[in-house]
Amino acid sequence: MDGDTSVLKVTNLTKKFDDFTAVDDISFSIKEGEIVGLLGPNGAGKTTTIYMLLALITPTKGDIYYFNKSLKIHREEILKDINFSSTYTEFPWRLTVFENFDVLGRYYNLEKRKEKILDVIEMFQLGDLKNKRIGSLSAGQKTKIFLAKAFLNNPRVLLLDEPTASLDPDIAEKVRSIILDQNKKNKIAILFTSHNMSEVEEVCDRVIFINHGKIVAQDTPSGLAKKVKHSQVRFTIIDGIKRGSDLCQKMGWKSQIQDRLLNVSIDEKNIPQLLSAFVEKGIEYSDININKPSLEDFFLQQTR
Amino acid sequence: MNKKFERIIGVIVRHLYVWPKNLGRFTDSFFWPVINLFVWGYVGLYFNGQIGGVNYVSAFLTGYLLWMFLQRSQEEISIGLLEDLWNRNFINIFATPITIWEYLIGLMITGIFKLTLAFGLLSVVAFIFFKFNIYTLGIYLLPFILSLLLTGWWLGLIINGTIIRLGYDAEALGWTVVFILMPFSGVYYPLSILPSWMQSISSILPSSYVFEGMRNLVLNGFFDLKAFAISMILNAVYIALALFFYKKMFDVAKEKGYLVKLF
Repeated sequence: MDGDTSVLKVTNLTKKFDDFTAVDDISFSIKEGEIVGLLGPNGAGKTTTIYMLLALITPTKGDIYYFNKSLKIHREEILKDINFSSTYTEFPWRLTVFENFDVLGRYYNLEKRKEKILDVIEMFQLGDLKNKRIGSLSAGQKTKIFLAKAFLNNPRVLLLDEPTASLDPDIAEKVRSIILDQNKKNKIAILFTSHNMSEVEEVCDRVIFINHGKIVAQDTPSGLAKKVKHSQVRFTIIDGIKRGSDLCQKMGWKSQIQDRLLNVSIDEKNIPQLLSAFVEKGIEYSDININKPSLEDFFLQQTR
Repeated sequence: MNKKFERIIGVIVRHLYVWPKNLGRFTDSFFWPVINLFVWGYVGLYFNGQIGGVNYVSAFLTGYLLWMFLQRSQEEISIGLLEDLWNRNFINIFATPITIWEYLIGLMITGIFKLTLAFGLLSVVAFIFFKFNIYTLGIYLLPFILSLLLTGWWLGLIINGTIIRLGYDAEALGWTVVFILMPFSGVYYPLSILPSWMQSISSILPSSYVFEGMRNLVLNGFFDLKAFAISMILNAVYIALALFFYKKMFDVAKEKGYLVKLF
């Protein structure tokens, strides 16, 4: 591992539960300050991977290294420098936000614990909630609290499992900006799972796509989108919608009619041919939209 | 502050934060023990009046107060763990540097703290209402208490390991299993009245030696060092086995993914 600049390196990680293979021989690494999306459909192995990265599940095979140290051997030393946020956990509901952070601050051996807690509370604008019991908070408020907790120990690596789920769009936007800000300021490496593809495109430098426990693709969000060959062309038809649909069928292009809209799924390079064919057949349209493939299209293509 | 010690303090603080806010836990610590104390105190007074010869109030209340150390020390570590299970807090705890041993020690110390307060209150109530002073046992109280704490802890370790392995299905063990030990321990009666098969079981329970020793001390003024030594040796063996079991169950839970399913 000498000379390796990765803050997290995973090699041949495998997890089998009896006959079921949840994670199948995956290897990847994350560099300091990099934000990597971990995407995949439900049951793909994302959460199992994150739990192995937190030493909560023992891998069947493979190794996890943080800061060039094995998680298996240096668990305590490593865990003080990483943190996570997940919408699937809870805090003791009778304790206030501050009390929960105080307890966790002790588990993480925070120096100047009270100051650090107040900093995080201010960063996430949680002042009003500080002395409220967790049990009295809304789902959105709790999500913010879980995320704030993830920054308590100034982590060098952050594992975020759907960090903005159940947040209103404006709050989600604020939270994303805090994450990006902290990532830039403190060069935190982040592994990020989300079902919000536009969020992943906005936040992540790189995306690892897993399905059935295997890594099926690894690239930048735009690089993955480019792997989808078909663009979506949408016409608002004035005259000739049936002719348009027949033409597409004849040419082998997938099309769909919705009222006056004709959606055509077509390879980007064939778009000029489609447009001239429409002119030739006298198909009139008032509006045309061309949607280039997105990360969401890649996701859908992989999971179909 | 030493890092391990600070994390142990974290466990204690977590449970002390919640203690006054949880009526159920608060009444478990003070209210129900006081009610039980009254029951045994009045049973003792009745026996004193009807039978005489022996101070039954002293025998019963000493038995009850010492039993509380076994029962509560076990329940404190088991219900402490269950509270984190019910709050889906396991992932938050064990994704931090805290170890299962630090977590366990934190629960044990929390238990001792609560027990000390409860014992203080009960001893005052016993003195006011029944003119019974537990402290007349003097220094001999300490070895009895130590042995019963150890018994409560190894039992708690086995129960906690089982809960970690089986999850919610095993939660009731946390507040029931300890009572299986009660009839075999001779808390309120001498072991000699038990049938031989029950006496055989009693002979491998450290608590039976403590309660026999307690009766010797209260009724005959004699501290049986040999019985105490046997109870400590048995405790040492069971603690070692229970620690191994607890660790093994944790490892299995991490291996099988139960720890994250429990949250």
